[in-house]
Amino acid sequence: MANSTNMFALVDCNNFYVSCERAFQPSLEGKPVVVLSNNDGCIVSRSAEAKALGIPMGEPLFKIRPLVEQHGVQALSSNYALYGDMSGRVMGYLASMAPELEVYSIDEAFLSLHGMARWHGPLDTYARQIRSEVRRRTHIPTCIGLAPTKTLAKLANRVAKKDPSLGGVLLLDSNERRQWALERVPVEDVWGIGRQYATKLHSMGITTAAGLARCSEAIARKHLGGVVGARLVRELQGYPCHQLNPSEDGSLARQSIACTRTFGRPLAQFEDVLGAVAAFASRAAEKLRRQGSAASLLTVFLSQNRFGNAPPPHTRSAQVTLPVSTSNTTELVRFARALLGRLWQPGTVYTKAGVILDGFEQGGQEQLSLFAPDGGERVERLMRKLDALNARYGIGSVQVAAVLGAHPGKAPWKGQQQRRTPAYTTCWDELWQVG
Amino acid sequence: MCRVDILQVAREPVWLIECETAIPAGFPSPAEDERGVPIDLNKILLPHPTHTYLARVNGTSMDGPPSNIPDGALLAIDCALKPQPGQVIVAAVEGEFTVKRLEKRGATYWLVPDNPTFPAVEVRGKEHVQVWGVVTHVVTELINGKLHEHVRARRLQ
Repeated sequence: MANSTNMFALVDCNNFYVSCERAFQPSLEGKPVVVLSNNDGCIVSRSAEAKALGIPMGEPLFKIRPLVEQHGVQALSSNYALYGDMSGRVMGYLASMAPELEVYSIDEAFLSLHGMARWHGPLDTYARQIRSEVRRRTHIPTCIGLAPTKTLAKLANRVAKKDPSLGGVLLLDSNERRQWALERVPVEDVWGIGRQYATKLHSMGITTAAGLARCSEAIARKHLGGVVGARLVRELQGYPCHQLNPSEDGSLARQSIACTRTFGRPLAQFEDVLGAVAAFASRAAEKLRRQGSAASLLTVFLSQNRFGNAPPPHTRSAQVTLPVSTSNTTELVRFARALLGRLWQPGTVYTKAGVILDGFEQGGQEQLSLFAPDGGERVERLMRKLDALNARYGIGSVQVAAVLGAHPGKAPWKGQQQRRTPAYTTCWDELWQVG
Repeated sequence: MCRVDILQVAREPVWLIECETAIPAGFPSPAEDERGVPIDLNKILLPHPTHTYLARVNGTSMDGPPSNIPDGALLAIDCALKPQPGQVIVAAVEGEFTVKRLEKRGATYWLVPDNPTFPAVEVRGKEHVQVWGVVTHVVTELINGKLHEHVRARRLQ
């Protein structure tokens, strides 16, 4: 193993959505619980008890109805206001415990523990302390993997999750331990190995992470996508190739922003679908402004029912390179509407749409265009006001008219969410209640 | 005698409007040097936003001395504090949350209501009672003010 002093930790929340629900409903402890995606469609989070019943990830609810009824599985709608707030609390605490933090997803973060052993003693003891504090402060259980590379930290975390005797923490600080952990992980579960590479590796007789770590650089380059594969193998061998991408405020600036949803019910009217697309574009623009970026590439896609009678393709998309990169809501909605017009086929029933923004530049430094309308500063002021109003009076208090669609009132694309628990921590009217 | 100290409260920024009339210069205010830092209530009620939670009380089991927490009060709950005997805590008992005072009687711990008409609960191990957090502050409203819709106002006789 490389003689490196740096150690990475990957802190990953266990069954994050289910754990958030349990934090405010202790009666769900020990029972099989699943959380459903938007519109109560598919399963996106499962408790250990639900996994033990053999309920697969991503399964539509209707397919597991018999199990639900037989074992009393609690199925909840996703409550993203709660999950977002709880994630912020977990990340806020983690940021105070390490010199650097990379928020990798809503429920996992890499920490750099460089030099921490000097102050806190053995790193596995320190990790155990972090784990019990996260549990106490947010009531969310975690597992922590510690290793000299990010890929090994991910792998250590996985082993810690699967093996309860480790107590939720695994430190890979010697060749023997690393080898032991590598042999326990199937090659398809290594971070960065997709299904296609996994099939290829299996056909070559490589079935575990240990086998992959023994690969020569030439083989890795040839079969695993060039330099990316070579780096992956080096990381498994204990030589760090990836550094942290720390975020100052606990939220990582994204390289692309997507806002996509399955509609609450299938839609066939142009105004209704436009309402959804305009709402998605507005939301994406708001996120874009929050991280201080401007987008130069806009994609809109539109999907029909995958299980319907219509022949494929079920999804069609259109893209435009914007004349000047922008974060202006009205501008982005205008282009999104034009793209939607190109995709629209009358007489078709649509079930899903999405808006994706790419090609980011730092806001305020956009390349000037000869044809750009003047008044950038006024637009910027307007957008600031818009965001301030929506922050104060709630999302969608002020919005572009296109969002309203054909029938103002409840947007027909909005989800069902019949089993959503209250937004305990973020909404006055749904505030957590104790007896 | 009761003394009332009036504290300055931090608010949203106050934007001063530029004034075109001339202001006569004169004697400088003697209070200028004594001006303190405005008091921020959030800093006192929620010093650690990452592990402090707000909750509404439902029921009257703590409506009595010394805590006098009425139905509908708003609680600030800190989860990082280690609960000490004598403190008011939020705990999960058999899957239900409850607000009670933690007391130690001999070798055993009890969850004791401040309203004597409710029964105390003996803590039978960690499986039976799980402490969720320590109540640090209680906010009640005595008039129908801004909190009224979210917190039940205490009825005055």
